[in-house]
Amino acid sequence: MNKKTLILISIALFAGNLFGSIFDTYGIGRVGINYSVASAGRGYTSALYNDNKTVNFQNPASLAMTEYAGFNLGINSHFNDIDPFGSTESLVGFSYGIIKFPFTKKGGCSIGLVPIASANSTYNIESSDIGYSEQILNNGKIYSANINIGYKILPFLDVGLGYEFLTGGYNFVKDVSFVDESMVSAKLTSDLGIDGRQLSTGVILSLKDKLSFGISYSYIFDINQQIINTYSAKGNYYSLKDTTFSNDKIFPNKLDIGITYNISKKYRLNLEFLTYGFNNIDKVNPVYESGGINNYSHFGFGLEKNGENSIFDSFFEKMIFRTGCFYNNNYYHNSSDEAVVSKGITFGIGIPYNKLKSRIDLSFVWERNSGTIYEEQNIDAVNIDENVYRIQISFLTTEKWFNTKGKYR
Amino acid sequence: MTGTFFKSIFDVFLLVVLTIFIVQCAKTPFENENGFSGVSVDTLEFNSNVIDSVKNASVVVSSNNAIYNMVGNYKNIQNKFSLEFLSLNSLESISDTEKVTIKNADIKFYLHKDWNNIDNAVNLDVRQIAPDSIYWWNNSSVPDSIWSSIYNNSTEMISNYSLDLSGDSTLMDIDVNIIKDWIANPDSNNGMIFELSESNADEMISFYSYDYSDASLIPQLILECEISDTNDVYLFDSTFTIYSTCDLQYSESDFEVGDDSLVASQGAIYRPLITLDSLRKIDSIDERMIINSAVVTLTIDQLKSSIGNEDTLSLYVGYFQSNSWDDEDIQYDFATGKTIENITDLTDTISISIPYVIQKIIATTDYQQNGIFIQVDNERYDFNRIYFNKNTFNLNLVYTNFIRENE
Repeated sequence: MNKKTLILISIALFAGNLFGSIFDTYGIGRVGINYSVASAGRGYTSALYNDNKTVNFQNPASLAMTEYAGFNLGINSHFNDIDPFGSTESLVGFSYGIIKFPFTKKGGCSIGLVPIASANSTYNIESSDIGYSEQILNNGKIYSANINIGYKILPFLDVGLGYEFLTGGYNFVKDVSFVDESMVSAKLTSDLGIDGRQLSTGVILSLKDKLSFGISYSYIFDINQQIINTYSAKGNYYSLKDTTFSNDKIFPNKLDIGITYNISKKYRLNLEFLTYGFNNIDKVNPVYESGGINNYSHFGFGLEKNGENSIFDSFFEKMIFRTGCFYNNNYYHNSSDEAVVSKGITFGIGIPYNKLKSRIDLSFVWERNSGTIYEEQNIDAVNIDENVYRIQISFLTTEKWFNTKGKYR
Repeated sequence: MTGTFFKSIFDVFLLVVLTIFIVQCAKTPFENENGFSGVSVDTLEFNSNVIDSVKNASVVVSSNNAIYNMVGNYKNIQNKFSLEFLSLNSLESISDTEKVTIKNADIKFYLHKDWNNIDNAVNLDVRQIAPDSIYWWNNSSVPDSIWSSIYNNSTEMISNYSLDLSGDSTLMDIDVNIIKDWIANPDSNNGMIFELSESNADEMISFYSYDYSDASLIPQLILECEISDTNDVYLFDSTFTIYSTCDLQYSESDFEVGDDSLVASQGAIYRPLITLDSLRKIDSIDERMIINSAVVTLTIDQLKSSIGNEDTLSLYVGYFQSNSWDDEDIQYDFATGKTIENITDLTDTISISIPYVIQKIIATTDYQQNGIFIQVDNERYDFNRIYFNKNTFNLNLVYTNFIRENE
């Protein structure tokens, strides 16, 4: 009975702006999203490097470079082109918000709200031989509300520490309906609420004037979930609510390593490797039985040309230009342990204004996701290629709060 | 300068190699015992072994809201009824200047059915219910019990009548003094009882009752009156029609069935009850699975069954629950079941999908008995009987199982 022949997979565009990646239906959706717009423009690299205005979400040690207080607000927009179904509508929304400020000459801290996982997708699976279809929906986010501190303890060594409150929730729905209308459709709705705590730590080691090395690690030390599963039948004649509390680890620890090479005063090269230890999590929202999970890994490469810092330079010379590329092995794998792969190229610009105090950053990302979306025994796996076009914008202002730098001491 | 550049490039190369090494260490073989799972849609088939127990539950037939008043004997059922006309006060005086004198009184019944094709006439005894018996018998919610009181202790013979059954309606002449007494002394008007004169005769008729939807067909008291002035000077004749105000149908059955068969019957009402406790004992079944389809199949024992060759019946298959079905304390659910139609004397098998009923059976655990019941339609006003072969019971399930994590 479970033997299915898959004849069609269709995207169901729901009225709830469910326009994320089609691969978001798995687990907690997309991870590796806590990058600033500036980082996204240079191939999602930020483990080590940070300029003195933007906030590095991956490594709290970089806050030691903070010179000015300020806001940083990010907005995300994207649309997807999924072969063979065409384009989805664009999704525009808040991405992150950070306040940062320096303390003494050697330290800085930040308070902010940053997404660390996001799912926003639905699709149908139609099976021919027993005449039923499954609709799967996964919609939710995990945010990190964080306090981070960075400090330069030695001229060549910055250290950082972050304490993060993880909060969020997911709505996961499986709806089984039948071609034969006399048969009763079945639905599972899982509402998951998450409350967790995470510690992050990082160091930046300046090996030479031109070469620096950074590493950060985030550890989930407490996570609580409330899961409300509702099993229901068509027409609501039957509904069973099953509420459970769990401490299962559903979000993994993270390791981030990066290097920066200053080619010259203006040009900077970044390399980054980031991994989430999904092998060690306790469970993940399921989609198909034969799938599995493995560690997430991200490789990023970025190049940045700094703008001039003098108001006497031309506007073009004051702009920052960024480019990069990335390659991700996502954590959801098929039965052959083949990961869904994401790769892409990025571009970014930084446009200063307000006498170089403030800046607008823009990033443009083309991303291609490829992998298995569904499979069953005795049938060929259904593989999907998806192009994602992202445009992100952030607004960054600098102020002189707390920036005494010893003036009143 | 060039040497420093290449040294730095070498450092970068070393770090890349280190990174790749860390990645390979972190990756483990594909294995996740607790993680992915999904949806399974599967089938299960059960035969009569899934039946835990059966009972043919009788239903009280007597009622104070029957739409037909039946009197007589038919297929092991004895029927009697009572009737009351309470709206007589207006006849005391129709005006200050006119006086009403009742000359003749008839009760008019509209004939619903002559069950034994009697064709000519049927003899009925009519008793007046004594005024000292329970006055509000007509509102009783326990008709069998109240009937016993008013029939055995408090009846007074009015007359014996031979009712003409040749037309659509029939008249029963009533002594006008009884009517005058009812008008003069309303407490004495406690209704009448109608029963067959020959209690064992194999004949039965039914009339449209007070509760019938067409008010023009309900029993009527026809009063032919003379209208005179206050000096007793004749003015004119007039006929008054008083409609019945309440009734009570009493039915007693000596039809009994054992629990070796499943019997759905009309008249002497039986509903077969089937418990399926074994369903809940199957590992793959629990309250979190959703029943998509549940087809119950049963064969009809045509030799034992008795279905009129012109009758077409419907069966309702639904959910029941009880904490004491031996005491007939049974709750029938008429919302979740389904109806199967066009059952005739030629039907040998019934098949019906009742997913909601099976879902409820699986999910409900706080009753001593719960399961399936079968009800034949029009069970109070017809007399067919269907015997099902218990051993042919078959249940085909299609269900969706949402496999949970960590299970």
